[in-house]
Amino acid sequence: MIFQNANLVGHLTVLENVLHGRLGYQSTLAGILGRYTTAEKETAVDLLTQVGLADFMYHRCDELSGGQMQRVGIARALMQDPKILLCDEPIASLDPKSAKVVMDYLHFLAKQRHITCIVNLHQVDAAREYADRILGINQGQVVFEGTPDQLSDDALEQLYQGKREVQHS
Amino acid sequence: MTVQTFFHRRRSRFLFGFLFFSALYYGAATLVDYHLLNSFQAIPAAFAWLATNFMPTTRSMAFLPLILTKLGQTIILSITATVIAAILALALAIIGSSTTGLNRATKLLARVIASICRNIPLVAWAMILLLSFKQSDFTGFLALFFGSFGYLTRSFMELIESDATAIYEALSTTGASYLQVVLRGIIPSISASLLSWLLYMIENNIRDATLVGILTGTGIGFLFDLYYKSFRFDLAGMTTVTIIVAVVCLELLANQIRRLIR
Repeated sequence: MIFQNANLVGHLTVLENVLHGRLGYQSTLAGILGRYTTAEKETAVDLLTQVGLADFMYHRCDELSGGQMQRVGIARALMQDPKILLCDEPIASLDPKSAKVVMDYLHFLAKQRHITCIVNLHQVDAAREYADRILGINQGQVVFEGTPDQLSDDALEQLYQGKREVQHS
Repeated sequence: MTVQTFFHRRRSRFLFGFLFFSALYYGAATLVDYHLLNSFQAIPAAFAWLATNFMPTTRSMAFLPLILTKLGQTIILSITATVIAAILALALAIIGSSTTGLNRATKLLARVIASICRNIPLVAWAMILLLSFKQSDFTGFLALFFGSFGYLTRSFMELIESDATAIYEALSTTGASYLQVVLRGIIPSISASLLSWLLYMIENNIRDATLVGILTGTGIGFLFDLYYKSFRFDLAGMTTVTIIVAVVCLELLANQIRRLIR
């Protein structure tokens, strides 16, 4: 799971936040004491290197920029060894440049590990660029389903037009 | 409504409020025969009296060791009471906050306990406990403990609800157990604010300990009360000065610590 605002523990270091992804696999006692195995620590460092944050390992998370935080969020999610990644507006509160970096990493890492990635987005361009399949949802109803190529301007207009009309009524 | 009438209304409303409170003050002052100017004129004389009578003399220096011992005891008592109250308040706040609460019963329980402890004034706690625990340091300890406990529980609950909800959500989705989420996520994310609250409460309690001491006959408050009632004003004055110095020093220290923990 990846959250809109990353939801990291600001007072802890980047490394510790990534290791949080392992909590679900640990015994309660080990988790409480914060004891991680050497293998887990190595995986965490490895993941941080892959999202380009190896230099920030020992920095506190509240020192990072929004895009960096989101990349820590991705590393934490991958630390769980997931089959599916759910991303709740991962780039909604980022500037376009950081958004591109975050989406690039997310796309690359999910492809590399064969992880299904379900992302909800308001940025149509990002959806077109990265998605294999797009669902358009309006008022809880699926109004579009297809590949990025099939998402024509007409279909888009219908998607957002419909929304506007409903709001007015 | 035009822009002019809008601002006109604003002005007349302000004028009305001003006249209303002036009338209220004038009415009340006439009723109790209070004269503002006369009372201000009395201030210099009162301070002069205060300065001559409460000024510590060479005689009072002999009592300094005793005063400092009592002051030390009072400070340690306040710190102990606050720290224990904070630990228990944190536990209660975690099982009672709307984010991390165990169930409805614990949430209700935490709120009820916090509000009972908080809404009984410190003075009332001291008086009530005095009857059952007699005149001892423990009574003072309990009075400070209950006051801080209620206050801190409420503050900690609000802190968890505002600062740790996102963390709770995030760590719960990693499959972490409740205790893991609390100890690895919630507590680290609010730790700096927790310490800041704790320091604030210690400062407050050292001040309040004097009052509690007067009521329960212990610590520095008792000394002050004793000197005051036996007309040894120079000693009472010196006791007050040591308290002020101690409180100011602790506040400066607390500010330094706050800067370090951020």
